[in-house]
Amino acid sequence: MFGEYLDHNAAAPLRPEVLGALMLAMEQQQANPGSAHGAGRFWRRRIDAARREVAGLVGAQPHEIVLTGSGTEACFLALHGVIEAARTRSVEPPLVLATPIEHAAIREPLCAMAARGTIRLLLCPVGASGRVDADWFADHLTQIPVLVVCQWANNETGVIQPVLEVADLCRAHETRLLVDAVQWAGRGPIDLTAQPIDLLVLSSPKLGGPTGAGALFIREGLALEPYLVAGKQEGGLRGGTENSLGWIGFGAAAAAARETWAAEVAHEAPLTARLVEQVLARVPGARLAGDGSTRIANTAQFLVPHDDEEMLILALDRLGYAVSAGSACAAGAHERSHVLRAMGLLEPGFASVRVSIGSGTTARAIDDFVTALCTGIQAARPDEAEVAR
Amino acid sequence: MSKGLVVVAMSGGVDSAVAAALLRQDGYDVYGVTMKLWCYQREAPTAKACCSMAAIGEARATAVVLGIEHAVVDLEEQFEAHVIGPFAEDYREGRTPNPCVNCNTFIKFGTLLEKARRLGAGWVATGHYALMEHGAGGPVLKRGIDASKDQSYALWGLNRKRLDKVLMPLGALTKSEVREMARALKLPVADKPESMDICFVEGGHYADFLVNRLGAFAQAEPGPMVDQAGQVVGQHQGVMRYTVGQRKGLGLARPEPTFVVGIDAATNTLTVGEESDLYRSAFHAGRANFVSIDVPTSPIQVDIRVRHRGRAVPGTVTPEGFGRLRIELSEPERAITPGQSAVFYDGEVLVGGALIETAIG
Repeated sequence: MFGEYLDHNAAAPLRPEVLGALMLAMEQQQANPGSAHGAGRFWRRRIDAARREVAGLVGAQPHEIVLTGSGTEACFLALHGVIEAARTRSVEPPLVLATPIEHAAIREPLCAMAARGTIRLLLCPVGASGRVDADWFADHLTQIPVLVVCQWANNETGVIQPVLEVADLCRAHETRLLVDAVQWAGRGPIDLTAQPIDLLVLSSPKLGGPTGAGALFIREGLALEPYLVAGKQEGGLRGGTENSLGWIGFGAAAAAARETWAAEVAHEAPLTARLVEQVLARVPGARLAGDGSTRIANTAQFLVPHDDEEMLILALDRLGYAVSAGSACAAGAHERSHVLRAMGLLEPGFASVRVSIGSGTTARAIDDFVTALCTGIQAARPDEAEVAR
Repeated sequence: MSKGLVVVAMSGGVDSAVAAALLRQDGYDVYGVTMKLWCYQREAPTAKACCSMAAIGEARATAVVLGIEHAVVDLEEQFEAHVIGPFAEDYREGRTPNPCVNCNTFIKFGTLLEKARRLGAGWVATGHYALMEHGAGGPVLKRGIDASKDQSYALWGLNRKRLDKVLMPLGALTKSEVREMARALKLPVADKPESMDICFVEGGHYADFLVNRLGAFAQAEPGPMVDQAGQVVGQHQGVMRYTVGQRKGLGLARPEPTFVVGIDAATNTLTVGEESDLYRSAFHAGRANFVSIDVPTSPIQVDIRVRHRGRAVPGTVTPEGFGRLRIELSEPERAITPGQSAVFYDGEVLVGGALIETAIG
């Protein structure tokens, strides 16, 4: 109905295991997981099980996982939790180090806090490679930040960041590290028993679970200041009735991803390579964002000659391919990529097209998509009246 | 068999909704586009402003009822450059602009047409009450059948080379017929009240809008009000708050009815006079555009409207080069206002138009 879906980084299709778990759960008597009676305890047990699955995907203990309403909420809980706790201990606005290519869920709250003077924010440089330099963090950790923020893999370019190097540096400086692992989870290994990361964010829909669910890993012993102070759900860190169905689906997705991610990577990597090869061969002037850097297996972001990125995405949609330029705002309207801007790749006359594939993507779909991309680019050739103007 | 893909500019109002419905019935593939032009992120999302979130939601709901595709397209930058900026500049320079002219010329039938082609669409359609005919002799734009709703006055800036890509399905209908159709189709916006204000100015308070936007500026400050002889007769509240022909709000106690007859923005001076002083039969106009004919090199005889809803008076249009025209009317017109449009007709056919600059004599 919606054509070929090549936008898995925005939300992946629901896994069959998830659908099965949700159907089973939805047939049960709905109850509040906080209730003392049997019906309530049933849902409590199901949420506990989901939490174990999410913890299992990243090598965490279940009590280190706070389930949330989205990855964005998990990011905000972490940022607010660390920064507010630090502010109670200090008069000076605390220092935060981050990359300029974080997702809006990190970037916007940090920029807002910096604008209000709540924090001092330092952003590392990033070049056309799309990969930040761990040495920059080594140089700036001496200024004693309260928090370092570094994504694991970029949602647009797919470029993998030197998270483990940064983690070792943070550990050596006894500084908290928040890692947005939303695009990395399910595409590479995470083992928090060995990796010295204090806070890590996950999102259900990126793993083939339902939207409206996410999680924050909080390493044992780390105390956060909650922002939604209400009931004592989620260890007092997230008041409000639990999103039982969303979290059950999330748990099923995490369990399935743990089993299948390596096979999925093996399926996706050659298809993405084929996509890159074809686009660069068939679209004159096209380039790959973050070329030369290691990327996650399912993602490639291109810059192609076209003067109207928004219309190119809508034209590809009409031709039967769901892709995106970067990220979309709430009204469904368009903003250009801050990631490409930070990388110095936003040139006029070039449109961004991010393709993110999944386990259902075929080689045929890749080939046909590139043909559609050529058609979409053709339509941007100016007509007589435009030239005259 | 589809007649092809058409992009319909959907404001969230009833006219564009019915236009989309008619095109669909007529066998086109219809793609609704709501242009994000201005206000919703800067002002409270009230239902009034046509580019508010509420209006986007209504357009989307209409698209669902009609079973057509719909997208929101961001044109804020272009709207700022071609509509809002010149609007503010006009007031600062003592003119009374009609921002719909620039919006039609540069946004709806400019940028949106370019965007439509990139989508693979052959046409852009709007809910304007004007008759866009595509006959064997080429495309012709005429007044709408419903004289009380005719919107051809604001369409004189359209690029002639692109008329073949423009559809206006409401031109042969009356407003009440359009309302009836909307109710019959059970469109969610069938009984939505008409928006008459400038879409980016809340509640018609354009002076507040300008002060908010421009801050303090000379043409918003009090200044002298003089009569035809140059004698100071009072004080005004800033020339940008007045328009030629205005009678109300002058705060004068004179025996005879008194009107604004001239605005001098450079000195922030308002000239007032009697009703008879408002009548002029010749003026200069600029930025001329011709819709039905090649740019003329010698005088042409046409019917001329100098205001929206005004009558058309026979006259002569004499080209003076570089888009400048000298216009002579067969009888004087009241309040020929700099910044408004002079629009030319040959019977029902829209010939072209220009922006009024200065009255002569």
